[in-house]
Amino acid sequence: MKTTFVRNAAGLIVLAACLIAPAAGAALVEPGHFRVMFGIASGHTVTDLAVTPDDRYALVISKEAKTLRFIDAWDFSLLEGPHATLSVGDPGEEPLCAAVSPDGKFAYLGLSSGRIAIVNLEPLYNLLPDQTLAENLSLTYAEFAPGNALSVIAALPEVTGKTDNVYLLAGGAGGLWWARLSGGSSLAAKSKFIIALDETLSAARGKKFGYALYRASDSRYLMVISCADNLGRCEIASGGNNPFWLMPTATAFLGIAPDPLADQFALTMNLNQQKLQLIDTWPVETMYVADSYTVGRPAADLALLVGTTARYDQAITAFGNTVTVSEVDGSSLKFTGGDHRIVEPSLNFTTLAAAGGKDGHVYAGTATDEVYLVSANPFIDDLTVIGGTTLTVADGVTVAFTIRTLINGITDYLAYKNKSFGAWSDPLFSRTTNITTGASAVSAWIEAASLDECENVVTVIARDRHGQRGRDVIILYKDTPPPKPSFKLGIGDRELIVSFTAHDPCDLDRYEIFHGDEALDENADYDLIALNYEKRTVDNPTDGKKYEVRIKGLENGVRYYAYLVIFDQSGHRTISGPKSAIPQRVSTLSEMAGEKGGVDCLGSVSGSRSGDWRSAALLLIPLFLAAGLSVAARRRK
Amino acid sequence: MKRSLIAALAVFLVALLSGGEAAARAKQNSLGARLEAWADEQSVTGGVSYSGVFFDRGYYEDFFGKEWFPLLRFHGGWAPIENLYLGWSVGGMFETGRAIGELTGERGEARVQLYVLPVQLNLRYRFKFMDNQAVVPSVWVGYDWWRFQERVDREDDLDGDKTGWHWGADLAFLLDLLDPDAAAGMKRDFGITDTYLFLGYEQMQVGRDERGFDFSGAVFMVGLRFDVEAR
Repeated sequence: MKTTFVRNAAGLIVLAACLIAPAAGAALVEPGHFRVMFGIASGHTVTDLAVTPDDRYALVISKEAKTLRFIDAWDFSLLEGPHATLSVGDPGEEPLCAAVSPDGKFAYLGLSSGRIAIVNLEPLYNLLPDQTLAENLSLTYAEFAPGNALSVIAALPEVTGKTDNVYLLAGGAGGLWWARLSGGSSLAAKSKFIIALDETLSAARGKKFGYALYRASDSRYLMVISCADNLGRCEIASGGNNPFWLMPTATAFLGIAPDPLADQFALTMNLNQQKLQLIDTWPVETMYVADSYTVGRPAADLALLVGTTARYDQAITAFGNTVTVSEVDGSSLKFTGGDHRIVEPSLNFTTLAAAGGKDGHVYAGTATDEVYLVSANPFIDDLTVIGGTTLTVADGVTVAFTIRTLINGITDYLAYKNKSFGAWSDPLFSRTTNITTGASAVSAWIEAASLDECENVVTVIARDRHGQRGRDVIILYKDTPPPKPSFKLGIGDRELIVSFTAHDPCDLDRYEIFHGDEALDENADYDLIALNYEKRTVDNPTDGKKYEVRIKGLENGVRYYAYLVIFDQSGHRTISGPKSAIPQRVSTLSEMAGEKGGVDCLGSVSGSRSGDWRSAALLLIPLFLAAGLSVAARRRK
Repeated sequence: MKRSLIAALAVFLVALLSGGEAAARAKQNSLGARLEAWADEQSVTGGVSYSGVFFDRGYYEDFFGKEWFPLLRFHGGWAPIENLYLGWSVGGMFETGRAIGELTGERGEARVQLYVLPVQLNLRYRFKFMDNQAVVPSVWVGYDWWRFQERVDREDDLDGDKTGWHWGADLAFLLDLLDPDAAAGMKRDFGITDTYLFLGYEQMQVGRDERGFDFSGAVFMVGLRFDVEAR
């Protein structure tokens, strides 16, 4: 169980301050609803962040520790275990940036040597929040831009949206390169963009296009890039060498954050003027700066959060101890609602990554080892189980928690058992609360019958009226007596045969078989049965395997009784109903017919079984007929 | 008898040699050419049938708990004289059950499997007197050889055979009349001149006078028959 939450007291103080002016009556998500929620200690300094397309994992790379670690957004905790931290690079080689393939199967890390590290992420997606990786993720390397440190990277689909092949854009001070990875992992082609590049400042993926912000001589340019399978390469989308000129000499730009839904616009930040620029990127031949907004503060990184429930999209910048949320109208390409500043006096933000979608989270890395969640979503606080997390014979448990949100109003809270991430259906409970003061302490009853034996991963979700969700996870153990076993009692000559199929709900220990010739009371308990009957034991049974235990040495014609008892590892036991049978000789069909067998040289037409060669000759006739048919068929052809 | 057997064996060997390069050599052989010409003049038949077998003895029903037993058979035949066919059939039957307690009649745990391979030779007469005759009755009588094997859990297999005879009758309905175009296609592509759906009855006396399995009984069958008439 991962438990490395570092609840950020400062964040809660800010949250409390915001509650002074609750957003009751606000129609949709606004910048003021955002807050820095809590930090997750990654254990290493944070160099760059990336998020998987399903919002499940945030990838955290550390240049100093040369590691890749994962934050599981299911329960917002660091993935732990012996294989959870991946060491990247050879001695003298450091990871500088990270991107995830459009289908989420691979992560790509740009290294200081110019190589790319390719990590297979697929084993991650099968994990429940309490599970850890059984082995290290597969890691391979590809030569990309030898001798050129790769400080920016983006992973694109094919321009039609197909994700069979992945196109990588990566670069740094030495320029910008592209590569085609067959199946997402095998380097099939690569090249450097031939236009004069001094330095690539940023690279990012929109929906189907790539975006590169770069410096050539002293000017800054934005280049929209498309990659096509039929061409087998990436090229400047606007045609020819016609990138978009942003600003002249001495104007520094930071980051590029394109529209991930439709490639309609992109955000960048003019550091000299401390203002965001909103660029209309479609059509690419006529890009222009549609609007600007002066943030009035420098920025260490820039993220765009495209929320489907927000009134507008949100541009989020971070620098030092301040996160600024600015409202963007992506449809009319305007900065609309000013900004909202969140000050965390004790923090120093250095990098950002937006998850987007319904989850609506932005991850903000700090100069230390912590990654903070910036979000307008509700979240679950103080999730506890009243009476402990292990159910024995109880009817169920009560879970209690506090829903915190800056969006007051009707809020749902639900719980799910052992689902895959995002597949939230068939809740254990579904309730509603009306939040008026930013927080609501609630509780709900979970029936033991609705839980599985042994471990249950229960995900508790709070969902505000816009559909934005926060969640937490708790593990419940159910340990109840095994279900009543059933078995067959077969007869044989001086033997009985007990046969059953082992059923292991998760903690099966053994079966015991009892037999005797004395009929016991219908409600006989284990002690009485054990006292009167002989016992046989089946240890370490395998779930689903059929077992057959022969009880030999019995007396034919005497009725015997048998019980099957199942034990779990906690010592719980359940006794089957009794069965009885009489050992006796059994007849096969041949015994019933008096058949002794024997093949007598094909017998005889005369009825004699001594063998007759004329019978053998007669049996050759079908072969002659077959031969005749064959000849006739060939002839007709 | 001996001479006819040798002649039949010669036909068989020549037929075997008639594939690939051997066929080319056989063509140059005057005996082979004569045999092929002879084959062209023969009428042959083939088919498949699905049958329900009702054994006379009650122990089959007692043991397997069913009244009748399915039998799949393949048939063939050759008409040396018009309407008179020398025929054969090969089939298969499989049943499984559990041993029966001698004291109480309860089922034991031992599983019993019975495999039966019936082979039949017969002489059949068809009452067909015109082309495109819609219904063709036929009757036959023949020899039976039934090979069987009984398998029982953890015991040796029991093998054996039974012999006997059978007679039968059927009615064959000419399907070509329902779809002349398809019939023409069958003739053009496969040389099949007539296609019949037949319903038949057969009475078997197999192992009746012997100790052990008695496969005597009645057979009700339905099947398809394909005729290749002489040119």
